[in-house]
Amino acid sequence: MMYKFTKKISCDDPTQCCEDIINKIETKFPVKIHAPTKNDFVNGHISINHINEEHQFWIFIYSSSGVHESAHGITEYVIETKNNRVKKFNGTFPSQKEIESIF
Amino acid sequence: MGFGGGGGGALPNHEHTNIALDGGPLDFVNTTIASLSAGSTTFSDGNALQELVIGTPAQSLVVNGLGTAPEWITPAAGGPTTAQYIATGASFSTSSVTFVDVTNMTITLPNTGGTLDCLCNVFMSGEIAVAADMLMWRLVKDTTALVYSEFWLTGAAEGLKAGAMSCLCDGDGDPCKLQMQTFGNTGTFRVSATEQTPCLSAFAVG
Repeated sequence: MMYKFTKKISCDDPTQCCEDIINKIETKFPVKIHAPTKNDFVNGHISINHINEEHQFWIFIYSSSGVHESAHGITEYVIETKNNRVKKFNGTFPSQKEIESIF
Repeated sequence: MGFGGGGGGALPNHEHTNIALDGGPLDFVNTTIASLSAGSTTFSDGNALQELVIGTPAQSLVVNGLGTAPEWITPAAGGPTTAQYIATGASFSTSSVTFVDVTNMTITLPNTGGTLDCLCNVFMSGEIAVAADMLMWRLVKDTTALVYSEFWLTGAAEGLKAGAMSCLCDGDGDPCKLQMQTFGNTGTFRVSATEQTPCLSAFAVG
């Protein structure tokens, strides 16, 4: 499932900016985004376009095991790709409002 | 004095040579006249002189296709026939374990109809959040990966790494895009207004 939204924020360190968001997501919801090793499974991923005062966020929580989801760079359609490190999120999918409440 | 000699009588047979009284050479410097247009040049077709009227501005004088006469042609434009270029203004981060499109790094290839006549280049700089992870990059034409590169990074303390990828592909109007992934930690395609300006370009070179 894709959650896409924009926030009026700026950052000086884009990598830390993304890590902070991942940590907030993983703290608030039982979703595994980080993978300590290249063999660990994940329930989702985050992408951020760090435009000043207009950060764009794409947060994915995967709906099917073995099926990675991402946004097409132009059309924004969800692209599905096979990946055996992807594990379906078995919890209750948060609403868009709940996701955005981390800010 | 006309060719009739001015004194009456037929013009005797003669040649235009340097021999005295043989007619002498024709004076081509602002003296001899002919029924030509301004700017025309003359050439021989083997039997008689022919007029080639002047061409248009920027045309070049070349030998015709049969190799028998001069002609004016309009030269083809030189250099790349088509170029596409994009430089994004914002950094892009992802934690994806599969390749994802980097925002604003997609261009449309020139459409030449040729084979391997399009040169694609991308310059990128990146960093990663933690040690024991890596940044992987690839250029994709439509859905086909063209070229791949990776940065091994020991952690954020290592700072930015920069690299480039380049390849030839068919110029057929397909989209060409930069994709990236990590092993599951944050990797950033880094843009700095003062130090790094990553860009993606494609040129028709055939």
